[in-house]
Amino acid sequence: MSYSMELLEEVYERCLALAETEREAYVKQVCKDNESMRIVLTQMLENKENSVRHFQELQQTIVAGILPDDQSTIAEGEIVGKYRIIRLLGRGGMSNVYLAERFDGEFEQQIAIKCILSRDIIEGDRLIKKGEQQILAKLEHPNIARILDAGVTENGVPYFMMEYIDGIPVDVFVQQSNFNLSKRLKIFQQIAESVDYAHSRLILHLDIKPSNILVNKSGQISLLDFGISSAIDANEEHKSAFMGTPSIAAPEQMEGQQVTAATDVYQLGILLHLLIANRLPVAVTKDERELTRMDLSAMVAEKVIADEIDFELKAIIECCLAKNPQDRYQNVALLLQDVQNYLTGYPLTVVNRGSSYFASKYLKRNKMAVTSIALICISLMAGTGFSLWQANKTKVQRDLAIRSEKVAIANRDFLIDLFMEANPSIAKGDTMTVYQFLDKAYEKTDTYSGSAEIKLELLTTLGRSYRSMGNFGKSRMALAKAYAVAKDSSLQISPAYIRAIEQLGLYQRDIGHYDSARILLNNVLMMYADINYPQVDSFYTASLKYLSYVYKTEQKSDTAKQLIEKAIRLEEQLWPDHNNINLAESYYILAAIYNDQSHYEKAIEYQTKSLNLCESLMGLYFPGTLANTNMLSSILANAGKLDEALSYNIKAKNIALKLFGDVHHETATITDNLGVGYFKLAQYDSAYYYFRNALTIRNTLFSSDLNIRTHASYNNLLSLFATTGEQDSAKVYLDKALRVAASGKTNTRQRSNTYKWAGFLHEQLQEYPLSKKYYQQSLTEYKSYLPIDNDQVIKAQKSLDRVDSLSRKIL
Amino acid sequence: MHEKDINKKFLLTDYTDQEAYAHIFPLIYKQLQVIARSIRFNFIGIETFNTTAIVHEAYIKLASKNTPWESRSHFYSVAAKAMRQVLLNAARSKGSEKRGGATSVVSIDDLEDNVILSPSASEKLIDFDKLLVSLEEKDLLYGRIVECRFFAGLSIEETADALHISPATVKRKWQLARDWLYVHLPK
Repeated sequence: MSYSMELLEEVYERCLALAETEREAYVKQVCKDNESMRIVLTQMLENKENSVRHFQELQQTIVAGILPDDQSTIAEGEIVGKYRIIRLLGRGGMSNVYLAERFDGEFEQQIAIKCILSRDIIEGDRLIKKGEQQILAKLEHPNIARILDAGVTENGVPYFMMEYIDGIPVDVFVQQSNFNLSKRLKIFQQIAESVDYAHSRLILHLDIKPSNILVNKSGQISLLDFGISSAIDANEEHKSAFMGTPSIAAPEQMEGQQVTAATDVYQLGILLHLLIANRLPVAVTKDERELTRMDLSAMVAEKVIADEIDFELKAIIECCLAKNPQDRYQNVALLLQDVQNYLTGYPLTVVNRGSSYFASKYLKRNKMAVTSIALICISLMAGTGFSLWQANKTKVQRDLAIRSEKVAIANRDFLIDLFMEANPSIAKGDTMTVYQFLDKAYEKTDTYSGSAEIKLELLTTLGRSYRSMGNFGKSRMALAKAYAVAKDSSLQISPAYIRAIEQLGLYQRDIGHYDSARILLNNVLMMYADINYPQVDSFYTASLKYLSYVYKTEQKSDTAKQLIEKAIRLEEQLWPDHNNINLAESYYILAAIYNDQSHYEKAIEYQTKSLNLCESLMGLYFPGTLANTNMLSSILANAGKLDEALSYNIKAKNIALKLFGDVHHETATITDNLGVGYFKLAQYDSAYYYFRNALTIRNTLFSSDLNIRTHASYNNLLSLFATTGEQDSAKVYLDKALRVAASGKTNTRQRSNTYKWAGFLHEQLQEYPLSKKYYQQSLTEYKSYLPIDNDQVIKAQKSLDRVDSLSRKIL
Repeated sequence: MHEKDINKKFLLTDYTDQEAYAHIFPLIYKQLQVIARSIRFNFIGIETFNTTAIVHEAYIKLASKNTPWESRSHFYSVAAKAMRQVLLNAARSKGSEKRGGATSVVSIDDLEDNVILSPSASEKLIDFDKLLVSLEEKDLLYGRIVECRFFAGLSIEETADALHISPATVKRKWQLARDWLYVHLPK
């Protein structure tokens, strides 16, 4: 060689940088009389593509050579057992998989045959034993591909026959389907459940990776290769020689240590990460090309969980990936439990038991039930970030916005202290009920020695919390104390003071003392005016709403409407994009007023507006959404749109089931409403089904049937059988309903309903004097709470007149 | 040496190349065999089976989480050389069979038996290596780069890391070596 390699390198690089047409001239110019260099350069330039291809092909040949040879494979058309090989499905380092079908034509059945590429007969024997073990274990699970048989071909190739799954790997599936997180988690749950099932049969998987988890066209998931990997990996001769897939292997697999259920847990952790983040738990390199190549060297023992994963899911994955098997979930069921906890908003078992964590979980689950106190507590503990984030969502948060710094800090100290105290007594945080929390707070207020203003605020908050949870006794006690504090101290009229009065008013409202409520709430508005409190303010509008609702309940629709319309005007200024849950509430009230006035078109308009707003802001499974759906259904029924009404009944039922479960009085009420929907459509069988359902729930809930809700159930069934003419059944429920009516443990409305249907039933039975008696009673009851021009009153009067004239005719 | 010792070596000792070959090479050599056999198709992230996968998986298996970056690059350069040796030995043993069983076969270990090369591939490899040796006489770096790029299938960046040189140098020397070797191969 009469040229230096260094020079050649340099010239060659420059040539490649030039356009092809300029290269020859450049070579000539550089090489001058160095002919050998000119020739080699020219040849290299001419053969560049050939060179690249040559070395690629050579690499391929080498790779093929490194892989086990094909001597121990099965040829197409070869017969194995009762099956004929159709074609090769896939090739692996340790095995080939073939598609095969019955050759005797007895069944139209295709199966997969996996043959083990092993020169080691002993190894093959062990594999077959493992396969038989799995067959013996009778793994029968919809998500586990069954092993049908195991054996050795005539040529001595060990094989397994398996169910043939025509599908794609699960990671590809979730990406193609563009699944959201909860769908991905559901898929993960199915996979983990099948692993858990196999564990219950003492079979480990040990090679849980997407290529072993296939999803077919109908979305059915199948895990392949159960129990086979363990056989392959646990090489008895070289205990330390790991033979699996290193990038998904648990540390103990790498180290040749004993594998357990926790090994599968580790691999499930990797799978979970892969399903959520679309990649393995490894650090992402900056270079995008590297990303697509997936740099395996980055997958060293240290796993890096993707940042975009929610911290709770991160905690679950971290627990799975603990280096020490003892630090992982001890079984798949525990892992599944935490995934379920995540999905349903319960606290995880793995997240460190910090109080703010539990509080926030607790809050997530009980958006409505946990009212102010928990919210204040949590938001203060978690710092401003959290409180600002939640600030627009809940009324309670408005406290924070305007409360003076001093009060806020004092309150925080009080509540943190309280929360910490409550926390250690509970193992899972989850078990502390809202009541326990409030009771604790309530006890503490007695010994609280801070300023009167703070104490007033605390007691008001407690009173409100108890009230919103339906514990009126406790609410009254707290509010009475608040009232005492307000009166005895030399407090100026302050927003806190006004709100204490407001809570008292609301308490009066809730226990049905509308007169007192009306007076107190009117006072609230006047006091706000006295201190020049701004009207474009959510507290002020809330007060307008409360008062409006009291007027509405008292059937004073015009005043109620004026108030709510003012509130809406102000709120629309307050939130110019009209995208706020408080507005939804106001529309709800306005719709209810229109409904009372029989302006159904308007009522439907506002109810729909409220529903849409509520659903878009808070989601489908939110008590407000449920209330809206329910009301809309009822208005539609009033407007005679029975089919539409029924569709909202059904929607409400589904929400209620999800929100409250199947044994809850709300669910019972909604179920009843659904029954009423069918009843109005004259679909009596369906109506009976739901009425009966609601009664069953109530019988489960209440030890005695002497209560309003069971009374409502009896009335529904009574009205149904009276209408369909099944008088014997009707009589059964009439007796029950009359018994509750007489007990005094029900309300006027239910009582008047019972009497009305009693009158109707006896009218049909032509027992006119009895009928007359009951109609008279119903009229009296209706009149006691309804205006005389109300439909029910008029109808009751007509019925009475009719029976009266009938009985006279007979006489 | 037991497999666990290899981690220690990686961790604690800063081997010179020579020491590394002496101590680590046999283990890597053996590992490559085991791993090459056990790697399965279609595992996550790898579309096709290649020599890169073998080296990467070997590294994952052998390294611990505390393995420093230097050890990592060291590993790759040694592993790349090991790959070259494994393949060449296999090629030579096949070649010798074909040529009538010459006695000068390098390996008596049955490791190479696990690498199945066709006679023509073996010949190509042997010819290629002869040329590479002559190129290494000019500059040792060519050999190292070819080991990384061709035998271990590393990327330009990985090769640069492994050999502590710049990616530009790797690129320049690699394309020259590849194309120079090609035009000098016996046709």
